Amino acid sequence: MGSFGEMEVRRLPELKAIILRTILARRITLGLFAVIALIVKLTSNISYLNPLFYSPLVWFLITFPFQYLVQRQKRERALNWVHAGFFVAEIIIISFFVHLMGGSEWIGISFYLFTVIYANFFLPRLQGYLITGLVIGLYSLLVLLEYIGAIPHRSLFVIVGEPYRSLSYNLTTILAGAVGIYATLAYTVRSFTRIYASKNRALANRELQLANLSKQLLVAQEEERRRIARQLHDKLGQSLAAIKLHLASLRAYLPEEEEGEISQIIDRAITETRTLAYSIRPPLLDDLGLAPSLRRLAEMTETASLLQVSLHMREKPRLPEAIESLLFSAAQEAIENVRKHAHAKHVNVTLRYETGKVVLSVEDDGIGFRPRDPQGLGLQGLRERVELVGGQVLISSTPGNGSQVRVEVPHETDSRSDS
Amino acid sequence: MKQIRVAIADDHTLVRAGLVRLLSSYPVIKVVGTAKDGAAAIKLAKDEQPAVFLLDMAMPQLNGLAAIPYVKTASPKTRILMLSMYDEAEYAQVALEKGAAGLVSKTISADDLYAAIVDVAQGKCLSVKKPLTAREREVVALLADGKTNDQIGSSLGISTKTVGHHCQRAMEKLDIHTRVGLISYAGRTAGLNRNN
Repeated sequence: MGSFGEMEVRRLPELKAIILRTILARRITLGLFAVIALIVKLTSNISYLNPLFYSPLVWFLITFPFQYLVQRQKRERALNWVHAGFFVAEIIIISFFVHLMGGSEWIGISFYLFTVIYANFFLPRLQGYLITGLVIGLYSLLVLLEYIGAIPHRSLFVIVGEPYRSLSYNLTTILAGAVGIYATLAYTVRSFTRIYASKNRALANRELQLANLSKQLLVAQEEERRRIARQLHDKLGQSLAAIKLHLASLRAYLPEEEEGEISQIIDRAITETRTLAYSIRPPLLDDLGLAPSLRRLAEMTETASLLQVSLHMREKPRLPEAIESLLFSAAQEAIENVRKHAHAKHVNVTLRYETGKVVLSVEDDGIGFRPRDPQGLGLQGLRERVELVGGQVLISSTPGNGSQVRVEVPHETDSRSDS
Repeated sequence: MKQIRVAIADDHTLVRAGLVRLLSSYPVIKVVGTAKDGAAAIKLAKDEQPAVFLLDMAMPQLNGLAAIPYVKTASPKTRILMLSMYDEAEYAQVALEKGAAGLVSKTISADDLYAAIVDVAQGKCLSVKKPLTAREREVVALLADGKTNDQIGSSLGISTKTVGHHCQRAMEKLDIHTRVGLISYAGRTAGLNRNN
């Protein structure tokens, strides 16, 4: 069970941050209270009972050690108990305060309300009900002690008669007031939290399903691309090659010029088929892996344009297929962007293996852009694909100083081979 | 020239038939058999002991690359020439590493295929050819026009040293060892390049 009452399990730092915020909120409120009380005390002749001023001050002060304790906790269970301890200290102070205000006169009930709400909202069931029980117990004890005269009854307010001396009045206070209100409140808060948590869980499940679906879709899409590229290459391409071979075997019967012309047309069709297949999914990637494919990409870029591509990478065992194809698409997309928009002379493509991740970086010496400028669809799609596997795409550029696209994909590298 | 006994393995029927037809038109070449997968290729090598085996890289049962050692065992004197739809230098490199004498694209011209078979039969290995970059092609084309490195540098806006570097790279890629050779290559291909 999560530490947020019935809410979903949260991570420790997040939980700590929320607890610290509530402690800070109390500190500010109580600090203000103390200052105002002090000002009133000094500037008016209202006779304050001094403890009425001191107790909020003590409450204010204990927020400091508890803040320290909360920050030090490393496990959620321990954190919950520290938090519960803070509530216990709080209700002891509140009880004292309530006693000073005229506890048995119902007004005391209102002072515990926030503690009961908070405890049941933030703490697991055990601690939540424990705090609620303690509140009921302490308040009832206070009323009873005043009733039997073990402690003096005080009252800030003008009350007709002395109702606290009446047994039926005090029983009503305890049963209807303390037990009734606090138990109901605790139960209600826990119910709401449970509804909230189950909705959250459902939402988280949906998100997970959606992410899984996208992943499957990507895999299916990649599979489809591979199939189409293979078919283009292996079926259509081979048939064209066969036509060319058959034509060549007929050379003796054809005028040389015509044969050459037809041969050129076939060559063009073959080139077109190959370029198309390659742009869908390079077969090299499946057959030989990322490094040769990147070399080929660099080569093709240099063959087709004046852009110079420098490759920096170490030969490594093959990466998982999904990562290879993702990184290759990233390089393809980034280089294509450089070619189209950057007016660059050189582009540096680096593949590095860092702890826990593979990093591909594509840097150019072109005109650059402002990173906030709208990005092309290709880059957006790439970002989505990379984020889906838990990686990230970082783009940095300043106008006039080239640009860098850095793609990080999580992958456990074997450190022994990483010398 | 002594007749060269050639075997062919390719799963694509039309390609296989085309190769048989084309190679049969050369009197020097005798096609001794065909196979349509890796397993059949090994048996064919054992039975016929061909001088050159044209082995398709992508075949069912046993692909061409994986079949190389078996073909070599079945017929130790056979030289293997890999066939592929993919003519990337990377594939050629792998083929050489696996023990083939070279790799040719199925889209190669008839004369080049013939030359490759003859070379391989004579015990040579085919070099791995890398395509020229756009810049290298520019430099080579200007060389064909009879320009000096200085002139080429100033017309392309690059340094003379860089021009020399591009020439060097182009020569390495084309397996040409002298500047004269490069110029004559440039002259031969100049018309072709302009047509493109």
